[in-house]
Amino acid sequence: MYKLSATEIIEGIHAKKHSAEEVCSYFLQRIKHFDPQVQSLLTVMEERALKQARALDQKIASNEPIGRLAGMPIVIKDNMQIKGEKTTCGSQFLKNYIAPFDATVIKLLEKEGAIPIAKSNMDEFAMGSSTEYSAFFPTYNPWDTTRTPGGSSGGSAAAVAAMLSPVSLGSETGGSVRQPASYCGLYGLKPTYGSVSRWGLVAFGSSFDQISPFTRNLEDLVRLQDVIAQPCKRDATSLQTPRDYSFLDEYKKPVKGMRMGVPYDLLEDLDPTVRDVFLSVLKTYESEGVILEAISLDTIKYGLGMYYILATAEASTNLARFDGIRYTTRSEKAETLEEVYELSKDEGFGPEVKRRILLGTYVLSSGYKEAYYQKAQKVRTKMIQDFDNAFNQCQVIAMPTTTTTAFRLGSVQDPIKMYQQDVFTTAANLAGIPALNIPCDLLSEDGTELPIGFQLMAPQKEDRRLFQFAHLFETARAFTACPTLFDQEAK
Amino acid sequence: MADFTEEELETLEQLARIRLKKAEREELTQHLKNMLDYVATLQECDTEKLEACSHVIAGTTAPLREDVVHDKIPREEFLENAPAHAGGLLKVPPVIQDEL
Repeated sequence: MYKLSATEIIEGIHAKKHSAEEVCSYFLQRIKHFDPQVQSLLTVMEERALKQARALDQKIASNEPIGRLAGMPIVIKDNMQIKGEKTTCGSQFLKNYIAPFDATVIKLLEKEGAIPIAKSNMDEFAMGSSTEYSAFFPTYNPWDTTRTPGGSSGGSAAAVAAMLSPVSLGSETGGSVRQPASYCGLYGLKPTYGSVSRWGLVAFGSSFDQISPFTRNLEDLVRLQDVIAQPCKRDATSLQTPRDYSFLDEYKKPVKGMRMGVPYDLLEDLDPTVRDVFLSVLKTYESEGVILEAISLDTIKYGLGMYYILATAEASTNLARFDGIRYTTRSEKAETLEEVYELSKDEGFGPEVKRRILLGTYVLSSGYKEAYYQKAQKVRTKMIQDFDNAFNQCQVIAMPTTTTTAFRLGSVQDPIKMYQQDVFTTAANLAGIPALNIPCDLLSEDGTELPIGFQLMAPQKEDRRLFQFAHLFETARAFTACPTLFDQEAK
Repeated sequence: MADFTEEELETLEQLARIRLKKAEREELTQHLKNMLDYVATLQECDTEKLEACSHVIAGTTAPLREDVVHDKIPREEFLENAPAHAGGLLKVPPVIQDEL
C-alpha cells in the first residue's frame, strides 16, 4: 500500500476496496517501523487519526457523502496549528505549546476527509535549509541517511520520500519546500502568494510565507491544491476572489507551442553534471513542441541579499511575540519584567533564530532602515518588474532548483554558505509568483543515487500553467524511483 | 568590511529585548559583519525611480469586515499555554518598580 498514490488511496476508499481505518493503521505501523531511521516526525497523532478514520468508516457504512480527500493520510509541518496538538515550530521555546485552534488548511483538509497523522520536524521557526537547525534532532534523507533532506520543511519531505505518508504539507518563505523536494525526489509547489491561507501557520516572513505541498506525483498535488488553495476571511493577505475553475480540470491541457524562458547566464557556474541534467530537461520540452527562449533575469543576483534583509526584518517582528509572557516558555531565572523578555528569548531560541532576529532588528533600526530595508523593498519592486518583462516573452520560466544534490549532515557549518542553498529559490517568494520543483533525475555520488529536480515559474495566479507544463514532463519522463531502504513492507 | 561594533550589538539587544550570552557575542558580531558585507551588493542596483514594494500582488487591499466578534478562544484554553497565571489573568513581575 505504501506505493499507492494519494489518488489511488482515495479512490480505494470511495470504492470500498479498503477502509479508512486499514489505511490509517497501515501508515501508522509504517511510521513506527521506519521513522526511527529518518527521524522525520515530532508528534504522531495516532489516537486522533484513528478516531477520524473510524468516524469516516461509519459515514461510508451509512452511505453518507464523503469528501474529495477521504481517507488520505497527510503529514503536517510542525508550524501549522492543529487544535489540541503540540505545535513546536522545531523550537525549545514552543516545545510544550498546544494549539488552541485549527489552521484554515487543516479545516479545509478535514472537511474533505483527509486525516492528518503526524507533525513533522523542521528547522527552528522555519529558518534553515537542512533541518539541522531543529532544536530537537536532525532529519535524515531517505535516499542516503548520512545526508540532509534539505529544509526547513525537511521532515515533511523525508516522510513522503520514505513513503510514511502519500503526501505532506510544508511551508515556504525562501525555498523551504522546493529545495527539500529537489533533494528528496518529490514535487514541491510554492503557490502564488496569497493562494493558500496563512491563518494558523506560525508566521516567519509574512510577505513571503506560503503553505506548500509535497507529493510523489502530479495528480496528487493538483487534487491537494484544489482543496487548500481557497480564499480565507481570516487572512488579510489571502487572495479574496475564488477560482472559477479547478486545477484537476485544467492540468492536462496542452502547452505545445508555448514559450519556455531560460536564463542561460545563470547556468554558467553550475556543476557540469547538474547543468547536463537541466539541459536534458530542456531538450525533453523541446522535443515535445515547447519553444525555448533565452531570457535575462538581472535581479536574481540580488535575490539572497533582498531575502536576508526583508525576511529577517519580518521575522524580527513576527517572533517578538515570543517574549516569555504568553507562549509557555518563561525563564526561571527572570526576576524583573525585562528579564522575563531577555532571558526567555536567550534560553528559548537557537543560534540561527538569534542571528536572524538581530539582523532583522538592525535593518529596521533608525539610521539603517533606508539603506537596508527600504532599499531592499525597492529592489523587490524591480524584481517584480523583471519577471513581468520576462513573462512578456514566455509563458513559463525554467531554472534549476538546487545547485547540487543533498549534502552530508554537518558539512555546511558557515551560516552564509547555508543561505546560498536558496540562490535559485528566493526569487519566486520575492516576486510572489508560483514555482514548482519537478523531480527529474538521479545522480550518482559516492556510489549512491541521489535525486535532483528542476523548477518552473509562472506569472502570479497562473499556478495551473505550472501544472500543465509539469504534466507534459511527467508524461514524457515520469520520475518513479524510490529509496531502496524504504521500498519494503514494515515488519 | 562593514562596520559593526560591540556597542551596536548592545543596541540590538535592547531593541530585540534579548540578552545574549558572553560566549555568543563574538560569533554574532562577526556574522552580522559578514551579512552586512554580503547584502551590500544591493547598493549597486539602481532603484532611483522605484517605489518600495508594499504588496507583492499588485492591486490588493486588505478586505474590511463587520465589527463583530468571532473566533473566540475560551479563557481557560488560552491560559493553558500561559507560563504563569492567577485569577484568570497572566501573571508577570511588577511593571512599575519605583516606590510610590
